[in-house]
Amino acid sequence: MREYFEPHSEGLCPSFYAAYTITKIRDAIPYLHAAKDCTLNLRCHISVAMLGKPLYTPGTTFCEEDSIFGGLTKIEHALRDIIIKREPKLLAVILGCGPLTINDNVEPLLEQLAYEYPHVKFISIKAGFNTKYEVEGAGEALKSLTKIMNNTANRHENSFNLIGFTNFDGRKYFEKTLKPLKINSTIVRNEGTNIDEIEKALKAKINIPTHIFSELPLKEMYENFAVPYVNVLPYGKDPFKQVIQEVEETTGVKVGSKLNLWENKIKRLKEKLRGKRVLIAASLGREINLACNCIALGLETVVYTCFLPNIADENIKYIRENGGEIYVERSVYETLMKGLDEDFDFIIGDWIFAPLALRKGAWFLSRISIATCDTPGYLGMLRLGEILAKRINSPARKWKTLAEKHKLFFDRIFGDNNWEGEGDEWRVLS
Amino acid sequence: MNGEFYREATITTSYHGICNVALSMKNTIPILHGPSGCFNYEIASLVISEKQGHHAFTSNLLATDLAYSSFDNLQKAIIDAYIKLRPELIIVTTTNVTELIASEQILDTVIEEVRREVPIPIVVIYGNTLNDNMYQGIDKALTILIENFAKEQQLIDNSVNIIGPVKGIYNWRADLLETIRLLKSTGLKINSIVPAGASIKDLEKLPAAQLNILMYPYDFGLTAAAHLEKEYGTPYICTVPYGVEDTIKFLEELKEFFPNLSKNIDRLIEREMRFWGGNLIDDLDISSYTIAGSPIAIFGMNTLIYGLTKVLEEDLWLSLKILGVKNKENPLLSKFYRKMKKKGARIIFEPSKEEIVDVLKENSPYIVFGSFIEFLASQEAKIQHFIPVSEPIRYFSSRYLDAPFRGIRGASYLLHRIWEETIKYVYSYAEIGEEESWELKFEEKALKHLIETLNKVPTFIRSKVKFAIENLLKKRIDKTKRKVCLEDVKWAIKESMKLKPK
Repeated sequence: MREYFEPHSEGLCPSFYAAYTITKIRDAIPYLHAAKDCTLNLRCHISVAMLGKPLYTPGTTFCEEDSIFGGLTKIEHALRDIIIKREPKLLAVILGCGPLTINDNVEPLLEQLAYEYPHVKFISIKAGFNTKYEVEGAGEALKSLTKIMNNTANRHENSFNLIGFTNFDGRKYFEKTLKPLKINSTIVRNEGTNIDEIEKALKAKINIPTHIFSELPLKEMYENFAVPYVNVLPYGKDPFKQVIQEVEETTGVKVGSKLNLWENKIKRLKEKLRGKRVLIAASLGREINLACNCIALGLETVVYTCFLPNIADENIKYIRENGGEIYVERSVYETLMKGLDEDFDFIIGDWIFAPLALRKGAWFLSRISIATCDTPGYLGMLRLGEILAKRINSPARKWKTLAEKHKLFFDRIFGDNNWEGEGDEWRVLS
Repeated sequence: MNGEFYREATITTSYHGICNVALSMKNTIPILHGPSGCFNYEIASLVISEKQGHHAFTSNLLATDLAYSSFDNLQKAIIDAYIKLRPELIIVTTTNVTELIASEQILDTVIEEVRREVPIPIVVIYGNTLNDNMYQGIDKALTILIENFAKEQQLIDNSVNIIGPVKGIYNWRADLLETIRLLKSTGLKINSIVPAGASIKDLEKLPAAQLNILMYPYDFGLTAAAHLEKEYGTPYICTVPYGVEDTIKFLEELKEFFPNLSKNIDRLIEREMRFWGGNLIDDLDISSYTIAGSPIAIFGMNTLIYGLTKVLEEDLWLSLKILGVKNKENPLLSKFYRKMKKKGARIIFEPSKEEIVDVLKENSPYIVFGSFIEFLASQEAKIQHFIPVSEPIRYFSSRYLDAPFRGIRGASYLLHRIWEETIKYVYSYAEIGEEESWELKFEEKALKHLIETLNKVPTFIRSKVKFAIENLLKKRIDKTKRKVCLEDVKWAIKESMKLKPK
């Protein structure tokens, strides 16, 4: 729920999600037309999200003068310079809040540049505060990519697209499970999507979403190019089976022969994890994916999320029917307040949840540690299950006991801003 | 050209500084009038770098709100912040979007209406985000807060204020603790520390001190100290105790203000020199002779650049090749920068990330001192040795309390830290592989030959050699855009050997 105020809202900037999506495309440069520190903030966040890969995320030096006269002259010079120096195949201009406020229209400029540089593709993404939910920035970026797709009357009978973020294993798993269907395009994938893949995306017979923000591009592709899509996310047992069923119905091809490959392993993990509680407030639009996998592993699951689009309806039903709790909450502060009253064995979330996990003696998994866990289908359940099973009797319990005994828990969760109260006083006095 | 029109910024803007000040204070809630994304970047970066929960409020602006009145959201946010968290002070600040739609005066008028409903002080600090950087934001916040709250007080004998320690600045805790240790050892009383851990009361009693000590005088706090001097006659000192000489100078300067403590100060200088100075000399005779004259690069704010230059160049005998000042040149340091320029150091002000990568590739310093951004840049420039010292801190840990950069103890710590990096540097066997990125296109044999040759070059000058060869090849290929052949590579290698070091 977007309210008029939030103590510590969970969502990042939509421009971040848009830029992050573009960085997953080979030979593509995200250009940020926004205030100068937006590039810095984005860069720091994306660098970590990309695990240290060198990135190039230039941005306009948007100053007061530009806010009156517009920054088109600057952006034109910048884009021409980048094309000459970096030779990108795709230039994605992401519009931040400032240019959106003054209505800086870059479309005519991009059309002109596309005419001059036919070997470069240009797209503009309206991110900034234009989208209602932050994670929709990624959806906007994927939607903009549909503009460079080549419309074709010839569809490959036996192929499908994966729309959303997909890691290498996830792609391979889909390839195996949906045989004899083949992957046509994966937009976008961790190893980097090729531009050709995006261009030929409309050749696929069906689109499969991998994240909640896939809804925007899926609808766009359906409405404009009549490519059908699966209306459920492939996480958790029942939703994954539903995906298989929908794919079979649409394509008329029998798939899913290797569906139960790890059924026994998952059963064993389920035994181990029975009765354990997990709190998920992960952001990045992965809460539903992770929660479905947790439910499939028999965990008592509590989810706090802000964005529940229609595409996740079946998954939400699956979570609720199996005893999971879903709360719509954007505020980290409120989530922490609620989390304080309950006991958890695992907490998955932003780094601000780590002190809460220590207080509960729970094992904490950050966004980086769960990078491979929202893999679709049975593989995802297995991955997550194995990670959690290892941490059932975690060393965090020892610290909880020690900290309680010696009164070591300072108010780090709510930050009482008292640096002297953090144990430094004795040093000062000595 | 690129710096003029587009760049990858290396320092955040003023609203970050203002929020940092508010979040450093006790029972103070910042309210950001802007989109939630801006707000989240600020909070997320503080949570990560300070390893502590921070919570604030935002008016959570959407594009649609601009069409109507966005001020309703702000007013409700202020009231709810008061009801929910019962703070003693609320600081309202702005981001670039809100600055486009509302001036400072309009914002003040809007807040005036809320003041009737909320019985605590609400201070409006207009960000001026499109122009000002984080340090200017901190300076502005400090000045406004002190102007608003400082009250005439009775002087307390032998007492000082410390102005400047603030969350979000690298190593502020350790540096503050070292400063406090030095001051308390002389017998001085600390009257107020602003803004870290300060409440409104701390701001009010600022004029009770006999002297103001500035932690970062060349970047922020000076305007506030000048105000205190003008209004209440409290003098201030700008000497920053970095390195042996300046620490002694700092303590000697205290003698002028507190002649009754002269004996204590003399004793402290003697003790510091005997313990930390002696410790430093013990280490200098092995390590510093080895690393003396090695080229290094520092990136940070004016105070840090000045201070670290004192330690690294004068105490530890390193050679400063690159000084990257994250903010504008401080006129008080013009003489210092001129002197460094004469010595052959390259000084860049407000550099973009691209400029940093280029300058590092060109000069190939053996250790880079900087922030998370320079860490990324040094990785791109293939410089493996890095020591974090400045902002943005992001994923570096800045909470370790025993590692100050200040005082004679700071020089001793830095020497150990550099020595650790030196060992890594000397025994680095990293090899260039085929995955190495090249700006030019090579024929297979040519690339293989070039990689083989570069792998024979010691790691600490490899990036410089690579940069020189690439530049020569670029000139040779010029506009033909053909692939680089084996002959070209052999020629470039020979030519690069003829190049004289700059």
